[in-house]
Amino acid sequence: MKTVLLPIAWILVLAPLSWGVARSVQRSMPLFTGGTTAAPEKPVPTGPAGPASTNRP
Amino acid sequence: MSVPLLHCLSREATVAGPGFSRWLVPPAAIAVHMCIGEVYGFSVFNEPMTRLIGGAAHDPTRDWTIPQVGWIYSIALVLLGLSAAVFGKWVERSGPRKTMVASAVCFCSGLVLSAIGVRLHALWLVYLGYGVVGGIGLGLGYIAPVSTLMKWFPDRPGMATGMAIMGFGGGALIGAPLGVSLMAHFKSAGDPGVAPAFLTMAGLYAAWMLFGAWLVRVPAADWKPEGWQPAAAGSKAGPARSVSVDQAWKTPQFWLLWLVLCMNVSAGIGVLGQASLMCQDMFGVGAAVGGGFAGLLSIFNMGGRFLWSSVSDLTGRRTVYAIYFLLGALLYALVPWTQKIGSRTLFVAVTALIISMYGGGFATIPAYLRDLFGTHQVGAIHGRLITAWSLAAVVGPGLINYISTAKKKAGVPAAEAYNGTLYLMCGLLLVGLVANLLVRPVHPRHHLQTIAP
Repeated sequence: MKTVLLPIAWILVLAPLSWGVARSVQRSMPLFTGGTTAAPEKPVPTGPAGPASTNRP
Repeated sequence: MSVPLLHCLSREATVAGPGFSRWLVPPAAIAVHMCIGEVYGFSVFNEPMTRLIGGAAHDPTRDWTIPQVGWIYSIALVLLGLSAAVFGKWVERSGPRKTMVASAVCFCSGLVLSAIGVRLHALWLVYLGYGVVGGIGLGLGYIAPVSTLMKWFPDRPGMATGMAIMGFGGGALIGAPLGVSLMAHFKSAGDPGVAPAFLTMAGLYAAWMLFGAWLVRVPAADWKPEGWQPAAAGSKAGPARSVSVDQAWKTPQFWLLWLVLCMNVSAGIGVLGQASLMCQDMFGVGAAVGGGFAGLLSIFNMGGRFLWSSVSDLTGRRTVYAIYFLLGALLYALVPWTQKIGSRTLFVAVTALIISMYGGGFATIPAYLRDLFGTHQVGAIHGRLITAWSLAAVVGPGLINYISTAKKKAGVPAAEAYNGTLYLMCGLLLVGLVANLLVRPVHPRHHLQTIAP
C-alpha cells in the first residue's frame, strides 16, 4: 500500500499541473508563430481586480 | 461519533509512524495549494457573470457590471491576507490536517454559496460566498503546510516550500481553463453556465483538498532525515532558535523581510498585471500574441518558485534575494533597450527571467523566516508577512497603470510609455536590496526559552 501510494499521490497532483502547463504553452504559441501587425483590440474587461490576473502570491 | 472524527483531525493523530515517506507530504501540500490557486483564474467568470439576466447580451439595467463582479476577487484576496494573519497561531496549534479540512470546507462552501448567489442573482451572496468564506479558506490553505514541510525537510526547506507555493502558481493555470471548459459544457440558451461550473469545481476541489488533508502527516518530535545532522541552532547553516509570532513582529528582521517581500512583489506584479498590453504597446503585436506572452510568463512564474527556492538551499536566503534584486534591477533596466533594438525574443527572455525571480521571492520567504525565527511558529509568522503582498498588489499595478497611462496622455509614443515605470521598478528593487542586506540574526533576547509542545 505504502509503495503504491507514493507514485499515485504524485500522479494525482502532477497530472492536473501538467494539463494546466500544456494549456498555457498552447496559449503562448501565437507569441512564437504570430505576426507583428497589431489586430484591432478587444476591450479588456477590468474591474477592481484588473484583467485576468497572474499576480499570485 | 463526532469525537473520533475530531480526534483524527488533531495534530496528535497526524504524527507519522515509522516507515512513512516524507515525499508524501509535498503532494499533500500541492494538492491544497493548486486548488486554492484557482483564485487567480477567477477572472474568467467575470464577463459571463455580467450576462446572467440578458443571456447572450448584457442587460445594462439588471445585469451586474464588470466593476461589481471584480470586487469578488478583491474581497477574496483581502480575506486571504487577513485570515492568514489572524488564524496563524490557530493553524500552528491545530496542525496541518485540521487546517486543510477547514480550508477545504471554507473554499468549497464558498463556491457553493456563490453558485446559489448566481442562481438567485444575489451579488451579496457571491461576495459573502467566494469573497469572505472562500477567502478565509484561501488564507488557511496557504499557510497550512508551510511549517510542516519545513519540519519534514530541515535539510532542504527552500525546495520543500517551493514545491507547495509552486502549486499555488499552477492553480491559475488549471483553474482558468477548467472554468472556461465547464462553462462551455453547461451553457445553454440564456445561461452562461456559471452556477453549475462553480458547483462542479466545488466538488472537484473538495476531493483534491481532502485527499491532501488525509495524506499529510507531521514528523515525530525526535525524527530527522536519515544521515542528516542538524547544525547547531543559531549557527550560520542552521535554523535560528525559535521566536514566537507575537515576539517576531517586534523585531527589525520581520519588518525588513516585510519590505523585501513588498518590493520584490511590487516590481513583479507591475509587469505581470500589464504583460499582454505592454507587449502589444512595445512591439506593436496583436492581442493574441500579447495573450501568449502573458501565458508564457505564468509558466515561468510557476517554475521560478520551485527552481529559485531550491537554489536558496545551496546559496543561502540572503544571497538568493540579493540575486533577485541586483539581477532583477539590471534586467528591468534592459527592457526599454530590447524595445529600442526591436528584439522581441530578447524582451521575452528578459521578462521571463524577471518573473521567475518574482515567483522565487514568494517561495523563498518561508525558508528565510525559518532561518531567522526557527520552525516553532513559522507558519503564523508567514501569515502575518503576507500583508506585505496585499499592499504590493495595490502599489505595483497602480504604479505601472498610472504612469504609463499618464505618459500616453502626454503624447509619449505607446512603445516608450513604460520606460519610466520600468526604471522606477529598478528603484523599488534596490530598496529591497538594501533591506535584505540589513538583515542580521535575531537578538537572543527575542528567543523562546521553553517551547510548549
